[in-house]
Amino acid sequence: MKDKTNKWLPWLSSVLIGIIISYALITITDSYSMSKYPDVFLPSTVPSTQVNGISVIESINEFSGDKTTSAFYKGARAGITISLILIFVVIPFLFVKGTIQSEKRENPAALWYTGSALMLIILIMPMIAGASKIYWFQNVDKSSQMSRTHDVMRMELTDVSFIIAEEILEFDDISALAEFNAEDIIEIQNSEFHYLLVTNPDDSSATITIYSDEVNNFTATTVIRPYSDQIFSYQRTY
Amino acid sequence: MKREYKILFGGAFSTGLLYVIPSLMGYIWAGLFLSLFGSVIYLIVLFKYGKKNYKNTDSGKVTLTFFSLLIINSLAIFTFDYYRASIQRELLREIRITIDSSITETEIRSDLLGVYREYLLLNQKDNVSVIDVAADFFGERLKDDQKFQVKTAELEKELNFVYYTDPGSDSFAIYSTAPHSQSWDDDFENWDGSVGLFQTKTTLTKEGVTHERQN
Repeated sequence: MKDKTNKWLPWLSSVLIGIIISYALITITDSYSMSKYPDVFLPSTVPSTQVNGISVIESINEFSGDKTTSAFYKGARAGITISLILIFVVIPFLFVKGTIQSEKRENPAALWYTGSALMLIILIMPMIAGASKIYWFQNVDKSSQMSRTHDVMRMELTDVSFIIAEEILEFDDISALAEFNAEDIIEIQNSEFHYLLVTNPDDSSATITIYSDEVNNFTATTVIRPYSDQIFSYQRTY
Repeated sequence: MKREYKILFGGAFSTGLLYVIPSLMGYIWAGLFLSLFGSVIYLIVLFKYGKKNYKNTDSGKVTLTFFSLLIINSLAIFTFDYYRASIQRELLREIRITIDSSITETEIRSDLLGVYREYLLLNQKDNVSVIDVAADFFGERLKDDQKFQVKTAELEKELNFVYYTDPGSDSFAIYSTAPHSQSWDDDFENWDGSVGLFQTKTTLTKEGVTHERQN
């Protein structure tokens, strides 16, 4: 029994050292994140997070028509290279060398404690990071699907609004639209959304609202005033 | 130099270099996966070195378990992050195209609807052509080099507009191109000689205004 306890004691110590080092790393990273410098410069236990950081910046630059600034890119590249060398080269080396030393001394060496604690960190931290990334990604995916549906609704409403404005101009009489049904428009006959058209002969305006059975909390409305300078005004509700 | 340090420096050099070279060429993800591949070879060499020098056979098993977990973990999270980055990039492109598309339609189609309104009004008295009405309506906004000047001047920083008249069919068209939005067909030839960019065509005829996304 005592032998078994002695066997696991060094590992327990490594876990405790690992927890202390992890907290220290998190504190350093958090204080760095508060500063003006992006944290992709810092070595990380998950280097792909840093690479993803650059990738996102590149995508945003592409979005705004700019190019990545070389100063930022150089700093991040250095941070990623250091992370890769630490995780895949230095820490495994410390662990193997520490184990050899401990076996020679027949007692765990300081190098073994350092190597095994760091080894546990680089094995456990990516698992935690991976789980939280999957959870976060699922939420983002859900909300981006919702935004995509809102965009499709808005764009379809714009198309329909233009078609109705043209109809009013061609009839030159808004009351002629009283019997008009938005669903009769060829362009939206296969639409998955519904429309509500209300005409107001008093001020020659028409209001068209798009809604969906699947997106209950979102509607978009266009008020069409075909004879005024601003033909359309747009409202949305969540 | 002792063999263990040769292994250490060799591993550090190859892992670093396999990331740095592709990333200098702009291939950051390829660099990451190549670096992981280089690390696998280093870890195999290191494991063999350790196993040769270990006295206890359990140490070899623990080392093998740790190294295998490290490689599997890293491969899984790198792949997931790469997938996530691709999705994010695609999403941003899609958002950009949605914005460009909405702006183009609202700006250009509204303008041409205004011309159509004018055309319907004038046509009640005289037989006028769509092209003449458009020329009067836009005036100096139609430039000699076929460029079309939009009402919101800031848009010209992000989008390009040209007009085209066809007297045969009495039609007036405006082509809008977004230089920052690569669209669905990479081989599509845009009116300005560029390739694969988002482009719309808004056309005014006697029958009204049509708006189509060409790419």
